Amino acid sequence: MKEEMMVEKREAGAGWEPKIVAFLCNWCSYAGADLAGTSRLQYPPNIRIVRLPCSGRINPLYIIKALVDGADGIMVSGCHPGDCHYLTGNLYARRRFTMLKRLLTTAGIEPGRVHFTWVSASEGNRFASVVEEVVVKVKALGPNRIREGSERRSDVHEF
Amino acid sequence: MSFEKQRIELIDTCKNLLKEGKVNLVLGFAEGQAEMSASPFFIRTPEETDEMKWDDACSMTLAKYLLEKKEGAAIIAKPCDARAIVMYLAENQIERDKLTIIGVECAGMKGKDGLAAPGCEDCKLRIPPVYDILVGYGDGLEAEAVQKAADTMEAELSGKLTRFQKEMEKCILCFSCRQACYGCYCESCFIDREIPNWLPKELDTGAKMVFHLGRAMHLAGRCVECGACERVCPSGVNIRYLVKDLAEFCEALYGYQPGVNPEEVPAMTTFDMNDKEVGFIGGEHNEACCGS
Repeated sequence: MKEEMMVEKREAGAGWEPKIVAFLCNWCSYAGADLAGTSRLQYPPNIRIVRLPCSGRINPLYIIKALVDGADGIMVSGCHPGDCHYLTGNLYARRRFTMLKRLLTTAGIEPGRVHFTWVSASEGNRFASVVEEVVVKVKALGPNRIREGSERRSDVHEF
Repeated sequence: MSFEKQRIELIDTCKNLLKEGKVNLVLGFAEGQAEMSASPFFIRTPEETDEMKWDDACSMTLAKYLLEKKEGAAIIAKPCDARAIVMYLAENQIERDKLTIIGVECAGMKGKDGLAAPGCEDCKLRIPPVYDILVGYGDGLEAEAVQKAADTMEAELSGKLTRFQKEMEKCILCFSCRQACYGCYCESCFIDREIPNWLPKELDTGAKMVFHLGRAMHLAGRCVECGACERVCPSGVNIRYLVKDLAEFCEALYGYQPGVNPEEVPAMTTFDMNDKEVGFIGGEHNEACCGS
């Protein structure tokens, strides 16, 4: 079963759907996602949401680990700068994410796989459109190739 | 050759410091076990100073020992050591007034192949940013200063990934780079933790990537380019190119250069309301992050 899933996952083509991990802060973006849902807005079902207290709580290792373990894309969203529930969490996070994206790009991960943005609790529409944008970009890149050509771990995490 | 002159002056300085009782320990270099190598030397008596070594093989970074010897220590500091010390001061790891820094004017160190040691190849610093006593090199410093062409490998994106994978495949996860790095002083490293367990049981390329990317991220805006990671690596992994790129990026974006001013707050522990959002959705200056 696992083998089949791996094969299915790594084959780019008409049927391939990217798996995107979304790290959302509890106070703005998660509520924004909720609003998008309760407003019956359509957006692609490719994201798997991980809810965190604050975008400042997102350890860059979460993103690194997700990419290494086979996530095709990453989306991170928090409160707009100045609106953080904990006042400054997203401002520290902003520097961290800027550096992380540069690091990942230097290591050869396409910039289009890793996305950072701000979505407030009232921006259900924006949430839906951001997800759409992210999915389109990741789809264009195809499956995550970071482990391609190198030895692989036998147990692949399934999202 | 004025390494010898510098050595005599260093011995003199250390002898006086120990005799006067100003310090109880001098961190210096002794002859290493292998040829063309140096090992750290903890000098506690004035007599021992005569065995001190100082030449172009003393590329080791001694600053990390200061974390264990917090009081009454003196250290022989090359510019890179001094930059590490500045970072320790900025990160509140040591106290300036309990420490004596014997700065040395540095002509650059050489590796076993006679070329510049890792970290020295494009280092322009000759005088340490902080010191109490400075021991000069004398004439002929610039002529003697070792230079090697910097690694200018500007690869395409796919080439970048291949390069990264190649480096990772060499790694044997011995963690020497972490042990030698001045910046890796956490009491428990993320990679040693069991909860959460960042290092999978099967140690393949993916595990190495998690370690090296995680470590590079922890060094973002902190690396002082001493080259210790590359020097100690038994399998010749160059991870410095990742961190070096981050350092340049950090300086361009936040105007922060690590290891220059102990009063300055390190870039990643502060923020500005108007920080540029490079690579963000809807952010400006996206082209700076390889055109996302």
